[in-house]
Amino acid sequence: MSSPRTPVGRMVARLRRNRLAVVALSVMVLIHLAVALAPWLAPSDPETVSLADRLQAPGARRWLGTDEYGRDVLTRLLYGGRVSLAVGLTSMIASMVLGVVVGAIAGYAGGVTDGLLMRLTDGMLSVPLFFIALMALALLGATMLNLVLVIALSSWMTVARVVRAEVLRTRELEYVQAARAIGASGARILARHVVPQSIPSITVAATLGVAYAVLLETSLSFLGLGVQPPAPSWGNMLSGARGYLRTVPGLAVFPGIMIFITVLCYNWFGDGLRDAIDPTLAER
Amino acid sequence: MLRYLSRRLIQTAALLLVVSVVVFALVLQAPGGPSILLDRNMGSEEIVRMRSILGLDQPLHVQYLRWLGQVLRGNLGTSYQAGFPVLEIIGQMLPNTIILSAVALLLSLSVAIPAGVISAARPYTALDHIVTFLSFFGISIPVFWYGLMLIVLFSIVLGWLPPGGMYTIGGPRTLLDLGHHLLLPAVVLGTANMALFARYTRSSIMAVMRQDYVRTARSKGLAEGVVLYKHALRNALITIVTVVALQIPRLVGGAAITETVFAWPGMGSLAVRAAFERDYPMIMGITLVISAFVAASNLLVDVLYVYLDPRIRYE
Repeated sequence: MSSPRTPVGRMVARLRRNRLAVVALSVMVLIHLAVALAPWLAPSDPETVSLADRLQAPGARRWLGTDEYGRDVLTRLLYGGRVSLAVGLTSMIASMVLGVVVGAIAGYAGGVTDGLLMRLTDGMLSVPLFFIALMALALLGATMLNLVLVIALSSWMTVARVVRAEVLRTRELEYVQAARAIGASGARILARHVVPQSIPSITVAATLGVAYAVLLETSLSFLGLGVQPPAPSWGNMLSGARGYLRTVPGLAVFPGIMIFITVLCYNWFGDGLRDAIDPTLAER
Repeated sequence: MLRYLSRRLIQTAALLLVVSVVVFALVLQAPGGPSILLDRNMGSEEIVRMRSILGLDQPLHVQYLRWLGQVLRGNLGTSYQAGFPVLEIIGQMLPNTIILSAVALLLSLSVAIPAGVISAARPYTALDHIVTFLSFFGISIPVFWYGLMLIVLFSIVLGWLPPGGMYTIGGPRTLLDLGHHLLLPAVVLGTANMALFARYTRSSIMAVMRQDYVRTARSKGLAEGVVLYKHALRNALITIVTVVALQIPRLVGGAAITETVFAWPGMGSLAVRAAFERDYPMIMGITLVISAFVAASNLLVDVLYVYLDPRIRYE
């Protein structure tokens, strides 16, 4: 195999040698595809109640059985995954945008602005955000939008720090000074010349960010402050299953396994991506 | 040292002030405001009079300062649901949360540090790979599901441990009984941090092992175990303490979920219940007290640094 010349090509080659990361990515693609195709794959409707069929054991017709309202568990897993992953991905994107903006401004502006923004970042990291999130969702209502906002607002700090560090590193480089010399505006320099430099680190943070967001969404939904029934989410399916731990423990197994596998794959892939982007880090 | 500490105290106070503003603003934003105003039997004149009695007709900053003044005097209001002062209820619950979190933290450290040291001593061996592999599991497993699965296995199927609560109802409150109830929640809460701390221990020991003084220690002919545990670990502990400090806010968050799963009577299960019942004074009080508690633990860690690393002299 001839070795690729571009940095991205070398990165992909390193990533492909990491078997764990490749497996994780394949499983991730599979889960996302299955969930996206839920309306076509699912054997029945996720919200139709049929009390005659309640709490059936897994079998030939109902592969994973039915829940306490007679709804097909496999169907709800597929649709629940849609909700959980949609919330996870949307809040990750929102938190990336917020983090990049805060980090870029702090790093580029320096001085008092930097000081204030970084104190804000440190402060956010040293506050029990889970309790504040709980409070915000209870008081403002547990809507999907609020859920995304709460997750995004509680997870942008790592990206902000990473981006700030990258901006501090690049802003004095010659090509950035050249751009400044020909009169490019601060916003343009940031968007065109500085922030693109940190895209690799942002990608790693984004991958790990989805894992965090899915865990947070499912936790909040489990507590009843996230996705509201009857709409399925992996988290609220588990909270429904809680009442049947003694009689039908299987009901609690499947949603948990889906969350676990999804989060695990995102973490594994994110870790592989970090090693591939910066091979010196793999030595840690 | 004194100057540094006083600066950190001021920073902590500022942080808590910001938290109090956020808490106050969230309650103001809540649909309908204080629920007492939602009474349909009240005419518009009565509502106006009620608002003035409650001070809701005052400018916002006046309302905030009045509320803050009460909070600083230790008056967090009365729980709508329980009818008791919020501070009194919190006073009963906070120790339980501290017990659970502290035991979970000790458990995760006592497993993670040896695991990380073993990993770092023999990097890239099968043992190291197993530790790394397991630590990913620990980071990725959803706390609430993990808890439910352990309940199914150890309480329902095997019947070895109680599925929840803090003491056997009606039984004597012995330490043994507490330990019995504490085991599962502490393992559940400790697992994620166990994984994280093991990874950090491994990487910081590996970094320390490359330093000159470690080579000196080895060339003196010291046993590898002595070098690892006496020379390398001592320095690696500084990193570990930093990571532990950073994890405290998440630890109490995890405690909230764990407490709910195991019906542990602490701040977390209290907060979840208050959130459902829209018990505003309760939620506000819990958030403020837990924030103050986390801030105080962070201050404690700062003091701990000085003992761990004599090179640190806060100026």
